Amino acid sequence: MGLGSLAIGFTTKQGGHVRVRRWMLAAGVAAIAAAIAVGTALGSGKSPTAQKAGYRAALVSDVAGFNDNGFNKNQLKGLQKAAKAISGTAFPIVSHSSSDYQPNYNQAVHDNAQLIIAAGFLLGDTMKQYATQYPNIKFAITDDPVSAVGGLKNEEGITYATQEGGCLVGVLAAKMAQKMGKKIIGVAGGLKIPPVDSYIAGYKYCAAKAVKGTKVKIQYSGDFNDQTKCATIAQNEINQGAQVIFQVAGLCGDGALKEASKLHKWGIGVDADEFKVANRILTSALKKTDVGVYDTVLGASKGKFKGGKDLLFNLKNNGVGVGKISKQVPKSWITLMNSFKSKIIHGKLKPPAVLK
Amino acid sequence: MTDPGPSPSPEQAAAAGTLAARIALKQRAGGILVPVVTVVFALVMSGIVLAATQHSVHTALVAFQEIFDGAGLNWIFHPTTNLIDISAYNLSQTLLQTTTLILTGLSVAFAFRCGMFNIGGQGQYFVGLVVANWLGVDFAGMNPFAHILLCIVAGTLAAAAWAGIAGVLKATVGAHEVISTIMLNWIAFWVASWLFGAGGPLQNSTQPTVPVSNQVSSSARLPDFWGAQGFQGVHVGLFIALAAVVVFWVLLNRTTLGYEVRAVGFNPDAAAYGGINVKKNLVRAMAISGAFAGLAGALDMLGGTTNYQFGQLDIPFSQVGFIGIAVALLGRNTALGTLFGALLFGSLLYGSFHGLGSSAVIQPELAGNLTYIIQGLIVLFIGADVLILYVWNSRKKLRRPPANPAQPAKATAA
Repeated sequence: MGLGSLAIGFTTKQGGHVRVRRWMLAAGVAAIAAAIAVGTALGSGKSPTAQKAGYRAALVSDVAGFNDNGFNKNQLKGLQKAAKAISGTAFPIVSHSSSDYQPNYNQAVHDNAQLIIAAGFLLGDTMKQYATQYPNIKFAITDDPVSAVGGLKNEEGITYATQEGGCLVGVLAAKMAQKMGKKIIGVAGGLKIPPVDSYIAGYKYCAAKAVKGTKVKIQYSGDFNDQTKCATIAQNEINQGAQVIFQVAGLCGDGALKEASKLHKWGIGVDADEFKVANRILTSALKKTDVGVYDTVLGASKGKFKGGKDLLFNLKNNGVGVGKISKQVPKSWITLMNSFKSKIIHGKLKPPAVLK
Repeated sequence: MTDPGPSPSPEQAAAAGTLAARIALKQRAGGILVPVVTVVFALVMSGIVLAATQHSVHTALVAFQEIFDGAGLNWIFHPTTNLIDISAYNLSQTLLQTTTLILTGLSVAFAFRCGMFNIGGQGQYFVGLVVANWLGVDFAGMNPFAHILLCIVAGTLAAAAWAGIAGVLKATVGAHEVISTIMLNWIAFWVASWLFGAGGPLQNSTQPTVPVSNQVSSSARLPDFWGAQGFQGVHVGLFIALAAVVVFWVLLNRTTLGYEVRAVGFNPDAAAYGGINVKKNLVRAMAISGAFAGLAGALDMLGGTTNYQFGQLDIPFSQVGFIGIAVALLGRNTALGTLFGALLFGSLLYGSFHGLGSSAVIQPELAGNLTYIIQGLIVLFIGADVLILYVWNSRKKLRRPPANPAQPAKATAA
């Protein structure tokens, strides 16, 4: 069948058929010829970005691409803002799967990028390979310490003191729970891993400081994507008396926020400003990945690249913070929260990053 | 549908046969031109989408050039084997993508030739991948040749057994293979998600927080013949895939097994009347179909296409099994056709993902989804070529009144 069936189109006995098919053949050949002609005509020119001057910084997204709910998108914003500020060139590169990481790093190297930023820990292995292979190019990675990617001299970790943001939302959560009559607040965590636990540790620590005797219910979904799992956790914790649910589980956690709203309790978002996810969002604990990328690019372009070390983003340099606060929060609570904030900035209060 | 070509039997068979057989017949009658025309048509349509979303015809044309360059096809203007050259590197990645698609395409094509629509290629691919990863990690330090052979054979057989479930269900209780393979896809999807997810049995033991598998040990890695080992070069799996094309053709056209499979595909009742065990052939064809998809999964894992590991987050993004359907349809379910279909889709997939994902033509926020739209349009139009054929044939019918009374009856039946 293989070859035989391919030839059927040309071997007919009736004249009319041949004429119709010749017409189709001619059209097809003409279309392909036109396509190739256009391709080669355009192919002769180099892509416009290749000739721009200035510092050249690339950002490789993780599998979520640049149109996710904030993590990659904010980093893209930071990259573009930085490129504008230093009149350099930004090379954002989209990944669709793990098999794109290698080609994308290769593309960034080929584009003569001087700094290549990995948009998250998923790219760690590939970054380590390329950092070893190309010692003259600088590499940075969001949300991962440099020790996790080999600790090389041309690598920099972009880390966030998320316990400080967790602390501030913990203050508001404790006050709200107190007002609602039960001093119990909850957390819907994703996996029990350090970046999740640092949020929770700060939240727990400052909630107890703001309102004495506040209890914190903590459960993990084991998942960052499935909203139903986090909704179940929110339901459990609310049944146990929790008045506010802080989600630290990415997309999964949005399920917890929606569930809390449905049950007339409060939710607190994480990483990006999640004010629009549900009706009753108290506030969000922000991880400003755009600030991190912006500062990293600016620093590297000015020759202040800290090879083999981590950059720490915290309240002081505006790398973490809180998002939009609900109108139902009284001014006095915000004043209280701000007093925590200034204590942290001045080093008088140090929320723990590890959950005890 | 007035002239089916040299063999009249398939047409008669298709008149009473399964949907798959009828589609296959209609497509074969169109020859090589229809796939070419549908591809051109699909490209024009995606060009319109690009021009509309970017408000510029020029951008659309540049985007096509980026896809062309992104696939490394500009390599033909200045061929080199040096991977420092970006076009050579891109071409090497296109070949990797093609390797996988040849096999998932053959998988769908084989089931089609037995009159079955195997939508389970994606699940069978995962099964091959998981088994190859498990054996590739656990039996570290074996003789490389034996280790690679073990992983490939086990992955292939496991996927064959997995697809065989759908075949057995069809043969024994008549459960439709479309439904059962789709359900088996989801089972494979969630099992793999659990295995590779945090805390899962196959999850990375050195980075407990990252939901990816361990890397297969160096003794199980397929050697690269083009590119630096470990940097996602083109591995010898390409030759295995090309060999699979030959095996497919020989199996189908030069063996008793293939004859029986095709006979059942044309018309199961006629085949049964001719003394062929239809149930046995349904199971057998489904298992062989699954074997091709499983082989694709095993080669991807051992060839380092995703750095010798697979992440939980890659699972929902992997579409190779489904694209195999488009490859097989475009290739008319023939060996050679599937090879060319895979080459086209390989270039298109890698070219559009990479060409549009790394250029300044389209805004980076849009690049990801716009790429999916273009790919979707092309798959849609290629799937719709049966419709295009139908339109062509009705034109012809209108133009020429039937000369002999037997023809119109045939045309409506087919």
